[in-house]
Amino acid sequence: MSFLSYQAELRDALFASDAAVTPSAALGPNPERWKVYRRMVRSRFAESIEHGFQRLHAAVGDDRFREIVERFLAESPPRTHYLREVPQEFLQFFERNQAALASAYALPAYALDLARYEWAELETAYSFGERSAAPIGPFDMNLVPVLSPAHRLIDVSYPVHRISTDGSDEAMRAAPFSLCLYRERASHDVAVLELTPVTASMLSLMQGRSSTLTEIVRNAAESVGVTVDIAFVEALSTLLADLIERGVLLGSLVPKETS
Amino acid sequence: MRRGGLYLASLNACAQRWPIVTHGLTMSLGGVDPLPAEYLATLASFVRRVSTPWHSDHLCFTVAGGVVTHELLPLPFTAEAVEHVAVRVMRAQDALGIPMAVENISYYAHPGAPEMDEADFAAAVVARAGCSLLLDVNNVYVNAQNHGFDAQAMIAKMPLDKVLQIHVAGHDTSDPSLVLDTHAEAVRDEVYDLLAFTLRRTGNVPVLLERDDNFPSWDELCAELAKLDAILRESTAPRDASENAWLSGRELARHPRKGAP
Repeated sequence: MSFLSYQAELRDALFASDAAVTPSAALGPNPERWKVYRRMVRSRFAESIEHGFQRLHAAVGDDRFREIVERFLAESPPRTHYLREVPQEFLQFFERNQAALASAYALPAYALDLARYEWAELETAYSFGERSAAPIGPFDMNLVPVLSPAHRLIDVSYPVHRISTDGSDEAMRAAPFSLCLYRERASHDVAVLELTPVTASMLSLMQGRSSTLTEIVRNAAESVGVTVDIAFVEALSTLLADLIERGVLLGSLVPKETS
Repeated sequence: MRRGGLYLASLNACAQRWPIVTHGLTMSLGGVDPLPAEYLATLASFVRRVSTPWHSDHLCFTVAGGVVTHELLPLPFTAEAVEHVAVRVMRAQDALGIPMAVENISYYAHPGAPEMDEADFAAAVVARAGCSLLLDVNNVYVNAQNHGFDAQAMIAKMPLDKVLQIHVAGHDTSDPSLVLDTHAEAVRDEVYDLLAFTLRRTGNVPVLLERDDNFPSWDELCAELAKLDAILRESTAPRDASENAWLSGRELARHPRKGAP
């Protein structure tokens, strides 16, 4: 057996949906020993994914969750070198097969929203862009605002961010939310903000890093049909101060000629 | 690597107190897929940042056909595998810009008929690649139990002059037909004995206790470390105090950092 065929055969035996599949006798005299690898690989991935989606796991139930993980391993096995990013690949599999999985496993309507939210939490916690690569100066309405790299914006159709880790969904009714997840500077804990439409629009525009704050405010207000009056400006001032205090908003990009 | 927040803050806090030595799981040195370029580039940046004197990974494959198994899968102990792994270790060392050590794994089955034993396989890879050996004493013990050979004899055949670091860990014996390397139990007396046997032959090299799960109390963990420290002191001849550091000057001189004057 060649080097290449051995490795391919063992991989197939590890990830086959049929547990009865074992590597051929050419691998060695003891097929039970090879099954140990199958158990170890699969339990590691299952634990990693369950850890990443604790609330989804609780909401869906252990048996159904395990079956979905089994399908993921058989149909779209992990390709990342980082174990902590396997839940992201599981989420991508979930997104690609949402309709089929929802039907086959009678998943709650909010299941995909919950998975997306839980991954956003993890991604925010792991985010390694600690600082902006570009020089940041004091906050200025006429300059481009800079958000902390350790934040994520997500739109959901259910209040999945209010689900506790036991998966309780008694109050789960469809309602759209725009959320900003960010990392607390001192504790590194991930926190979440429910955004108004105009704030969600502003933060989304800020991610583009191409417009000044004045332009962003004008465009965001227009997009949601809000008049920029004194009350709006006062609320905006409070909001910006809050975002700066939370570390979501870092400051303004220093123009190149002055950096 | 590729983590910020609490993880990076914890690493930075440790780096202020201790030297950092890096160790990986998914380079797939024995794999037939191309070495992972993005992973190596990220790792190269990371090892420069933490100033590790060497990086280690395992004598195994973890990736096949693009699928990353996150498991240390066994290589055949053959001349073909020696050449294959050694060439990849040399490429990885070039990509990282620092010396590498390869670690012997626990293996529960061997693909096909071996052409040599584990010690000869490790020695051949280390000699051909010009790298060092990270000797996992617990892995040798586990393999000896599962494959029916003498652990001390296997250790004695290893290229002990190339050992840069030693790992010890606990293992699970609940299944009488197979000992599992779990890193989730206390170190057994048999492994402590094998460590002492090894250290009497290698001299003073750094010893790492691996514990990944089922953590005991802090006091129990410290007691294990104290026992390891006592074995290290008792098993190695008295040396100059400067050599009782994490890094042996002898090893660093043998593997000067690339670009160093």
